[in-house]
Amino acid sequence: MDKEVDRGLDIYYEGDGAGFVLLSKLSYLINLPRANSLWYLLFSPACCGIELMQAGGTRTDMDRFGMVFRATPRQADVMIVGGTVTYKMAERVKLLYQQMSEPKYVISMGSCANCGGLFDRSYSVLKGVDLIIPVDIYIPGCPPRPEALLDGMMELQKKIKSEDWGRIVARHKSKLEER
Amino acid sequence: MNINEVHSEVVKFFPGKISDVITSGKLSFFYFDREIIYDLFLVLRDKIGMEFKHLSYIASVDMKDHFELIYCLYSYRWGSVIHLKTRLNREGPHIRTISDLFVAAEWHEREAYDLMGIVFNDHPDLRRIMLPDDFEGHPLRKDFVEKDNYHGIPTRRDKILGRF
Amino acid sequence: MTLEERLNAVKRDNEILLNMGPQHPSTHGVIRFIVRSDGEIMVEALPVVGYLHRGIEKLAEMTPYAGFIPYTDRVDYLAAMFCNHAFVMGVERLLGIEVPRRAEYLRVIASELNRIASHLISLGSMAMDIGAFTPFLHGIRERELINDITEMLCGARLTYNYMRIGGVSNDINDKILKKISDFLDRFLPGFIEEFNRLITYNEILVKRCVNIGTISSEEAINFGLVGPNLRASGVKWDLRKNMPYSVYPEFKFEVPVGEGFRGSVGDSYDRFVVRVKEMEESAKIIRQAISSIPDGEIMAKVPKRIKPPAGEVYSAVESARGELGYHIISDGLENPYRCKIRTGSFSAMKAIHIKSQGCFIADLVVLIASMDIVAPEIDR
Repeated sequence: MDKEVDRGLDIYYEGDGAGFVLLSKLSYLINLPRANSLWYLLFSPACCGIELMQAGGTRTDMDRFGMVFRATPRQADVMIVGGTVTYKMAERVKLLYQQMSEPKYVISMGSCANCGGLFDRSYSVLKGVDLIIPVDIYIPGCPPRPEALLDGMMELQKKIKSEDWGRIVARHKSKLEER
Repeated sequence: MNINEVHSEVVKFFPGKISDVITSGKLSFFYFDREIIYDLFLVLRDKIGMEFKHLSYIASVDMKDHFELIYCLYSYRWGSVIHLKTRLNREGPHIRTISDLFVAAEWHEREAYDLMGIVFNDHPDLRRIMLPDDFEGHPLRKDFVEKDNYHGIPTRRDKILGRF
Repeated sequence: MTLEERLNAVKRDNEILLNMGPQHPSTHGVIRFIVRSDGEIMVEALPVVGYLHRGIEKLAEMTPYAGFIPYTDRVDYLAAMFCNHAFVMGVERLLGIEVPRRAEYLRVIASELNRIASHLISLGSMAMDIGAFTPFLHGIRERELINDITEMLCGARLTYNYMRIGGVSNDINDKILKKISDFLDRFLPGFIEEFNRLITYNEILVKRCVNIGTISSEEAINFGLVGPNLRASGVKWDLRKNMPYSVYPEFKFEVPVGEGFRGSVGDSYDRFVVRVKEMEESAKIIRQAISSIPDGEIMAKVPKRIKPPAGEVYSAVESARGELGYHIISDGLENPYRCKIRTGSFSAMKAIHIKSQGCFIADLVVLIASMDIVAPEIDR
């Protein structure tokens, strides 16, 4: 797993924040368009993929949130892993994740991608996709309804809007100084 | 033709190598010796009156001291279905392929090789189909034990909320 | 032998090796094709499967009979009612249980609704692979209505777990019947005519599908094809008519067979049109069923612990993708001893491998889409 990118569940602020007032307004301006035009990678091994397709369909329309599907990882921001990942497929999932460009997010959709789900006694199923790539949002269900997927995407939008660019800039500066 | 009529026809061609018709539960079948498999299926496929041209599936079963292969044939011309079985040794199971008679058999035999470890002689392309190429073991056997990790990924997850 | 050895054994110079990888927008699930071609004409398209192998047959040996039914949903999630039905029918035959007539009617209604839903997705994604995005949304829109009906019936939209050993789990009431008949009034003939006008008789679709992947009837039987693929090649075989099960003998319906509607018999266009006609026939069956549901119970008397006597059974239904059969071997204990699942898409892969030799790469996409394969049926 990547050690550089820390995607824990808590978002905290370092320092006293005084010098970051200007940067926080800038953060808001940067995060707003990023959160409102998430392009997701159409990657659906199994049954949850059908609900993903229905979520992009006509009743639960994800297009009105700015979310379009892309077929290639180079043009995507979010990878929605919907379905069971087997050992044979695990290497490809890692490759797909590495092909996406920063900043990138992963949503783990359904029980099989969260923890192995129904197949956790099987000999060829990866017990949860977070064993190989870092995951931001977990959506439970088997399969989750399209409204649940939409709720998960909106949680991701909230998470993106609260990202602090001051901290990110400071961390990158300190890494450059280390080298 | 149902299974009894097929049996009485086939016993004339291969005396001594076909068992009687056995009914187990709701299924009737007969056993045949594994040496006659090619000629038997040629007869079943081409003889007028039988014409079992459709191979439905090949199932492999692990009876504790030997293996069994189940063949299921359909005849669309006469609207019937039969099941045949054969026995194989547990050490070094091998049998001749029928993929030159039925094209559908190629993938079914590959699956039997992959999951049970039965070798089919003269098969055009015998390799693993479902599992990764470097997987060790044949999972459908009753004495299959799962390894602890696969290339570093742990295979058992004890704590659901949290990592290892 | 490994995959590399197989590829190296037939390698030639001036040949391109193209990988239609597991993640691809137009393979139906995670299936990989290694395409060897010289320019645009393909020499071979080698399928590599197993990216969704979850070991359902081994899990059957660790699960009691009644607890295995949710696993059968995932064998083919687009037509999950049929998978349930076949397994439950097999166990009932072993136990010698007779299912009440009302439950059989409910099973038929649910199955035929599922057949319509599955064909909508398959036709929509075939059109999407050719390049038109709108027909897919037409299919999705109608499928949402069917999802609403099944949600009222059993609570789930995709993996139903509706059938039980001995009957079904939930009963039907007047509200659901009214909703089904409203849906049918809207579907047949309104939606089918609109679909045909827009898509089936569309010149672009016709030109892309005609004479692609022609499979003759002898070849289709030898390849092991079943279902609409087999019927499009001219073989009139349908398990509901030739080996009847459940209450299908009481309904009047036709079995559509391919006749070379615009090209030769058994090409991709035939497979498309046969599926459209099958949707019409399913709607007719549902109309007959809902007008004559008998009263009664929905569940037979089943023992608390299901332990069938030692024996074997093979039970098959005519699913949306062909014959779906379960060969169950029981040894008298609580879990099955061996459960072999026979699906239609597994045999169709070999047919794609053979028929892809000598055609264009763009035609490979049409061929794969017209065979209507789903990945979990192949890999189980």
